[in-house]
Amino acid sequence: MSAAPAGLWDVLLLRGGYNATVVQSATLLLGAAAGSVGAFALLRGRSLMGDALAHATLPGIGVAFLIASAIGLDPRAPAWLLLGAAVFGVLGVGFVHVLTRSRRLSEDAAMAVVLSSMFGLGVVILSHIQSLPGGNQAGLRSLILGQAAAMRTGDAITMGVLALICALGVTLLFKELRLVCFDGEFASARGWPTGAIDLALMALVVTVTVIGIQAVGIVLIVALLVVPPASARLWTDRLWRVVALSAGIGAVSGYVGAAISAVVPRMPTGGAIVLCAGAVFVVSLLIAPSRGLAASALRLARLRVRIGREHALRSACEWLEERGEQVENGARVPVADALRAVEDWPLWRWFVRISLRVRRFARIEGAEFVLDLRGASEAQRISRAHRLWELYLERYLHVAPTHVHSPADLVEHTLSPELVAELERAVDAERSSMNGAGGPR
Amino acid sequence: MSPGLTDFMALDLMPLLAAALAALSCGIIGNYLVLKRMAMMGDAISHSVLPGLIVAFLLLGEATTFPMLAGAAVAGVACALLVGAVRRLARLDEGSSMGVVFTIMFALGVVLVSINVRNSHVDADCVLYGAIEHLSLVWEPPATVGGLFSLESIGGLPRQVQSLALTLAIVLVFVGLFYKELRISSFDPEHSSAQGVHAGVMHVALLLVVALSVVASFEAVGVILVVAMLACPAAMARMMTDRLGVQIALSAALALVMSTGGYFLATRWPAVSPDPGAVELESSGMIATLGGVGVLVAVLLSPRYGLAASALRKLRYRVRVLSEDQLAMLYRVEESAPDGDATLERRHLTLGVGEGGTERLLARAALRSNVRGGRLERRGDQGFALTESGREHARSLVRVHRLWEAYLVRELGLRPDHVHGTAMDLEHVREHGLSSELERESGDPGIDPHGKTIPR
Repeated sequence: MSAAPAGLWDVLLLRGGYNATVVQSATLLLGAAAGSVGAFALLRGRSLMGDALAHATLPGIGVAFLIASAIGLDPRAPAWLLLGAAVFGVLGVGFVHVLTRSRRLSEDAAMAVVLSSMFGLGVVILSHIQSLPGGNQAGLRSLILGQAAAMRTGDAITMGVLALICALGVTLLFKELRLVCFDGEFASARGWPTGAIDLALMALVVTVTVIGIQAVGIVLIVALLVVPPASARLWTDRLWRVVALSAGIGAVSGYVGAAISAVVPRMPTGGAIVLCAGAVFVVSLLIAPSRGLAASALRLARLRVRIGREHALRSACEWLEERGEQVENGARVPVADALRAVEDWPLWRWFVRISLRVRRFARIEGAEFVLDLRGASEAQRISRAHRLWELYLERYLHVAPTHVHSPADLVEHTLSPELVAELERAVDAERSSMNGAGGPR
Repeated sequence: MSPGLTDFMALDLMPLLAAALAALSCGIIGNYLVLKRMAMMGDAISHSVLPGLIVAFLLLGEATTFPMLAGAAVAGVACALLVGAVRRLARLDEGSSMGVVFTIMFALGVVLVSINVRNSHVDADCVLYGAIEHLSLVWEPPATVGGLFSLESIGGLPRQVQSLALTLAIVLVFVGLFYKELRISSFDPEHSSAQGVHAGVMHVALLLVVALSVVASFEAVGVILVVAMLACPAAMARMMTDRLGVQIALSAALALVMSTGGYFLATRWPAVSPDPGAVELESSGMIATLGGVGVLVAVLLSPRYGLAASALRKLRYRVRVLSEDQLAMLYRVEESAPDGDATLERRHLTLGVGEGGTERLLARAALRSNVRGGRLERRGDQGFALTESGREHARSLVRVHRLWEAYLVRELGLRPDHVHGTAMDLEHVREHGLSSELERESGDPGIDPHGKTIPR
């Protein structure tokens, strides 16, 4: 990166000049508004609608420019252009609705058609504007990828105020939006006007999209509606926390992204903001407490270690029974026999050994596997669950006795004590007529 | 050779060829995207072209065509696979995971392009809109039309046209070889896996071919408008037919019309525009616009599935229901009249029809159709009475109505005073042999729950 007139820290601490400060505050508010509106759009399954309608705004900008030049207004006034954008954004949503009405086209096909062909219309209109005297379209094309640095103070203030209004709208409609997002049918059965609430949500999406065009650009504005809520969703299940977190992530991304683009020459604001939000998403995906990759890898590893442990204990139990020995404290089994059912991968075996040791189930002395008191009862419990399940499969599902072992191998680890008790009751009646042991008690 | 033809060959032939080839490849493979509800996946894949190009360029350190295009194709497939991974890992819906993945990738591309703009050969504008018109600059047309078909001039075609032709060939071979597999895995992935066609493998193969088509086409039309080529022809064709083979053939034809039409509309704009200062318009945008208009027209006017056709069908059904209700009403009046004769005025026959203006209009249309069909005849000034054929028709309607009432009371245990409304709706349903089934099931009770005789 080349040298910048002001350092990133200066800009982040709002020492980058008045205009930069205003623009950053505005993108912060935009991020917060888009994050909170986007959270509801995501939960309602309408994430990509923002993409379709954002692309559909391009012809609106062109048409607004043409109308303004025809009636002698300033054709580059952002408020006017964005009004055109809003009208065509709504039109785009309407077209998607019409195309899906026939039920032959799914919503995604309708969105792809509307998005691309309305953007195409916009490109055509821009190429026409280019030919007009004084129709230098540079100002219009910058809306496609966004350029916050080119925003004037007044525009930024307008954007900030509108974003604030959107955020307020979300707060006011919180209860209604929550209803349609979680159970639209229930809401309409209770007499809520779900159609009107959906319409209000779409209106909020349109507003956020349109005010974000100048800073983030048509192509990337949808990211502000999707990425922050998707990241927030990874952290929590409670709605108000998702909304607040998403607004926060959006705000920080808007703020930091605008600062980076002010500092790094030629850095497009939209790209910088989206990359900030994207970085938050990637980090969230890795470390979020329950849905994160690290957490689920850990869960999986613990499950596999538990399965390995239980297999080892059951193998030991079976080995002892085959030789008519008691499964009790201090019983000794050759290590190779005890660990034969454990996955043959050194790391897992090592984990399984540690886990047996730590839980005081068994310890390994030389080539022997020595059961502890706790281990003996655990081994009996797991063997019992296994055999009960085998019996159940034989009796009630009429699975051949030769085919019950491997399904029972899978299920034994998930049988709760209540279920074991129930299985016991179910097979108890026929216990007397059984061949062999009914399983250790 | 005439000067017009020379101009055409020099200026239009290559852009036109590129547009048509791109539209054909994308249009054909797009059918499967539309069927698998993955049209927006086309959008996601095409956005990832930009980061693919720029990352390949940064890794290679030089702008060589094929490695960069390969980078773009890899990025496209990676984007599609990442969407699936994010959907599973973050437990998001398909749309949101697409929105997350492709926007981040595209943003990465935009940022890398912008900060490397001086030493890169990737131009964000070119990636967004394509540069189809430039193709005529890199090609020297042969002196005669016949010269076009010489081996030498085919070898001398612009690289983009060559790679588009190759892509089209790959698409055709892919669809031709795996037609059956693609069909089954598009319509029913679970069933397909059970039949031994690995849906997952077909899915990835399809993504690969889509990525290839997108990468070959974006130079001509840009990454956003390529989505129009993927989605529009297939969407139009789907509005017209149920059969996959027909749909694919139709979409290919429509893709050709859309691309050549759009190209000519844009480039001939100065000639047709009333404005003397008009310039040529962006042809890629015009192609996409034409596609969108085509889909809208197909959705509105398609003879079988169009909104207009289905509105008309609904209207016809309502008129038929109203006209049958009129016949049944007259029949019931005849039943209760001591002399068996009944004449009703129009205002009686339209009784019970809703207050709305359209309902009244429909009731009048129903009356007219009854008179014209010879089921009703005018008596005196205002009155209408059943004709013989009308009475026959009415009798069978009343019979079905009363059979339904009897059936609903006996089989469904409904109260006798609750069945009239349901029977009013059901008596008009003739599809699927419903009334003959009813005849068999009801076992000829003779009278209905209200004690009225069921006519034979």
